Parts: sequence; structure tokens; C-alpha cells
Amino acid sequence: MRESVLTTHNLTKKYGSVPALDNVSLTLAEGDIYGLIGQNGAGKTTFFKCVMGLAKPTSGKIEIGGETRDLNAVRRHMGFMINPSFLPYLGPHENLEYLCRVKGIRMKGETERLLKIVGLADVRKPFKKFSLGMKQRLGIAGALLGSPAIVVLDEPINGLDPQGIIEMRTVIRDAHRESGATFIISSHILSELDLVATYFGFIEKGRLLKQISHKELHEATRKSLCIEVDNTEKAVTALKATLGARPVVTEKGQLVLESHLEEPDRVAQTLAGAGVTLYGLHRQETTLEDYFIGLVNGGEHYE
Amino acid sequence: MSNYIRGEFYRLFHKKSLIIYFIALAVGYVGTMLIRLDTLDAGTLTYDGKAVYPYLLPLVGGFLFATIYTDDLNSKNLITLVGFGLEKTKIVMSKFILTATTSACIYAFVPLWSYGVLALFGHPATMSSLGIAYAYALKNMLATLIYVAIASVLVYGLQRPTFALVTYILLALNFISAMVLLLMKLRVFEEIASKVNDYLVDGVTTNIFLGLTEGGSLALPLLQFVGYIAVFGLLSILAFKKKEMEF
Repeated sequence: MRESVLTTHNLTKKYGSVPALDNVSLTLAEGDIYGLIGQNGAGKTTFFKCVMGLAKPTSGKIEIGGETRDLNAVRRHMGFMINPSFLPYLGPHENLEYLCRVKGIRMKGETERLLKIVGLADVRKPFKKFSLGMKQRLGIAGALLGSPAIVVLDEPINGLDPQGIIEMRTVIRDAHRESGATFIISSHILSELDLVATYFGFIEKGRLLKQISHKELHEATRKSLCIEVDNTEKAVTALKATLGARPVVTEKGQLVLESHLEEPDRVAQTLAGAGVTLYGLHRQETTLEDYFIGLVNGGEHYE
Repeated sequence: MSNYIRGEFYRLFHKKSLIIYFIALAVGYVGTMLIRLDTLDAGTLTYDGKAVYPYLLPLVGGFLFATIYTDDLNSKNLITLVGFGLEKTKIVMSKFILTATTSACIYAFVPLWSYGVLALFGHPATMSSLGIAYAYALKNMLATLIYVAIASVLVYGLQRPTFALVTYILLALNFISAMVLLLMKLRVFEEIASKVNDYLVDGVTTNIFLGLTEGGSLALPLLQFVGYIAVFGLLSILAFKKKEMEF
């Protein structure tokens, strides 16, 4: 089992009586790219604010690298980007040099290395003249300064155009591969995080609904055949005996078949041959968005 | 803390507008000399110390305050610093040390510049006049530091850069102390008015000036100066710790 680098225990943050975070217990394993998915206002940024010490939790515990007391000390080994914030009159090189000095980083060539990764090595203009995509990329470079063990990126693709999103995805992948750090990235676009994340956490109204691996998520969203018949028992027996299939009976009395997706006619013939009346047969696919919406609308609560 | 101060110095030296602004001020001062060419004499240095240096509070202090304090709020840099694990107490202290160091450098340069420009125009001042000009510069520097300490409470407590900067400028223009003194002229305050003046910023710094130039007591006004810095420094720390970072 991989080591946990960041864990929250029942983390709660209330503004007045309104909970922005409600007993969030999240575990981030070493080397992961953890995608924190949630709609706008779900509590993603508040979670990051608490983790980075920018907001004080109402209750609960934060554990970073096994440390629970002197969190400021371990935060010095973290990088983060919550709204790319840089000095407007300095260029990318000067901004990173400034942060290097503030963080006490004395790695020669560090700023050049990071600016190359994010594709800003040749940019000289001040931050105030940057496009949104450039700001986001510099934000990532800032978060990677000094090779931190954990990198927190809040909505790195927010507001980017399609080309910018593709570029950002490449930057994150390259940065993860080169740094070997553990990433936690938030977004409200699941399909986009799906392309980079290895683990997912779903958050809604401040509650962590579910944590799931990339593999598990795709198992939960794979294609299948949905069959409606008059006699499910008879149908299951026929499909098993004739096609070697392993259909699952749902609570609604439907059969779900994850094999023979390209042979619906054969499935229909088998059922007809066994004397089963077929009411309906169609291919179904749960998209990542469907899965997310399903979770949000009364899905299970992660414990 | 030293890393942070190093970083801040890097930032200051790379802010072109700051450098251009101070060069413009220095050149502008030469311009005022040209306008007064006929009236210049050896006494101009002490006159400027008394009449011109107070304008440095808003002109120099204001720009420094904006650069050191409100730039961080405008650019959300304060969020970056806290997120990096820098303790809020150390941020408050570092910023004040930075302000004090930078102010000391600038206010140390100002009398020398005045002296040099006057000498260039053929009116070299005496060393004693230079000493008095330095005493005026110190008076204004101490006032700058107190006003910065007061306005910084608003920076950390409200995190509203414009409000904090306007407050500093009003303090530096003596607007607020003038209001207080005006209030003191009311009959009900008549008795305490004379006593209060010594405790206001202008009174404290004037007493330090007099202590230096006329041999008056320095201990009490210096203690009052330290008291101002300590009280408002503490308030800044408390306000910063209490206030969540605004995004």
C-alpha cells in the first residue's frame, strides 16, 4: 500500500452556520494525481484554503506527511496555485526568482528549468500583460518551485480555451513525470481531469461523496446491454447456457450484460429461442458526467 | 524571515516605477532649487529640512507603503506567502523591518542630496546645518514609520489596499492629527489639549528632534515612539491572525 502524504480527518469549515466543508476525510497517496471534482461552490477551494493554512478549519484535523501540529513547516515543502497570484510589474523570470528567495531555494537554474516546462522560457513581458493561459502556466511553475513533495492546483484549466486546455494537460503531465511529486488538482470538468488524474474525489455541498481510482471509475462507467424481459430467471439461464454470458439483474428487474455488445441480434435470438418475451434491448453507456450527476443526485456518501 | 526580506528587496529593486519615481523626486528637488535660485544661501539646507522634508512623508512614505504593503494585497501575493508556510507574525515583522531599512536609506540620502545640490549651486552649507537637516530627516522618518505601523493594521485587518493607502496619506498629510487638534480646541478638551499634543505623533517626533538639536530629553519621546510601533505592530499581528485571507 502506498504511503499517504496528505490526509484530512473530518475536516469541517463553516461560515456562520453554513458548512463550506462538512466532515471531509480525504486521503492523498504518494505519487498520485488526485482529481478533486465538484461543481462551482462545492467546497474545492475552501478545502485547499484549509490545507494551505489560508483559512482556519472549524473542526477536524489535517495531516501532511504525518505532521499534524507544525503544519507551516511542512507547507514549505508544498507548492500551490489558487488563482495565479504574481507581482504584476515583474516578468516570469523575476517573479520566480522572487519566490525562490522567499522560499529560500538556492537551486541554480531552477527558474529556467520550470519556465521551460511551462513554455514561458522566452517570455519577457510583465505578468500584467499575460493572457489567462500564460498566467495559469506561470502559476504551475510557481507551484513546482523547489521540487515540492505535494503540488496543489486549484482549477488550473478554468477559463482556458480548448487549445489552452490541451496545453495545460501536457504541462501537468510533464510536470508530474519530471518532478515525481504528488498532485491534487481541482476542477468541475470531470472529463478533463479523467485524462490526467489517477485517483478521484467527488465533492458536493462541502461533503466528500466518494473517492475512487481511475480504474474503478472506468469500470463503473463502461458500456453494457440493457435487456427487459418477462422472465428474468429464464433469460439468465438461457444467456448463460447458450452464450456463456454473465448477466446481472438490477433492482428494476432489468438484465445488464457487459459482454456481446456487438451482437444484440444474437442475444435477442437466444432469448426468443428460450421462449422469453423480449420487451426491450438497447446499448447503454454511463458517461463520466452521468456518473458524477448520479453521485450528486443522491449517490452514496463516502465514509 | 531573512529569506523573505531578501525576496522583498529583490522585488523592490526590480520595480522599475519605484526607481523612476525616486529619480524623478530627486530631479524635481533640483528643479525647486532652480526656481529659487535667487534666494538660495547657506541657510537653505535647514530651511528645506523644516519646510520641504515633511512632504517626504506622503511622497516617499506613500510610495513605499504602496510598494511594500498594498502591492501584496493587490496582487494577492500575501496569499502566496501565507500558503508557503510563512508565519503571519514574521510577515508583519519582516515588512516593518523592510520599511524601516528602506526609509533609513532614503532619509539618509536626502540631506546629502540637498547638501550636494546646494554646493553645486555655489552655496555649500556648514556641517552644523547638515546635522540639523539630518535631525529633520530623522524626525520625518520616525513619523513615516509610525504612520506606516498605524496604516498597516488596516492592511492586515481589512485587506483593503486603497483604504489603507488613503489612511496612510491622510496621516502623512497631518489631516487626522489636525482634526484631533481641532477637536481639542473645544472648551471641554481645553485642559487636556496641551498635554495630549506631546503624545501625538508630531509631538513625539518634534521632541526627539529637539532632543537631538537642543539637548532636550530623548528617553521619553523615544519610548513613546517605540510604544507606538509596538502597539500598532501588535494590533497588526492580531488583526492578521484573526482575518482570513481574502481571494
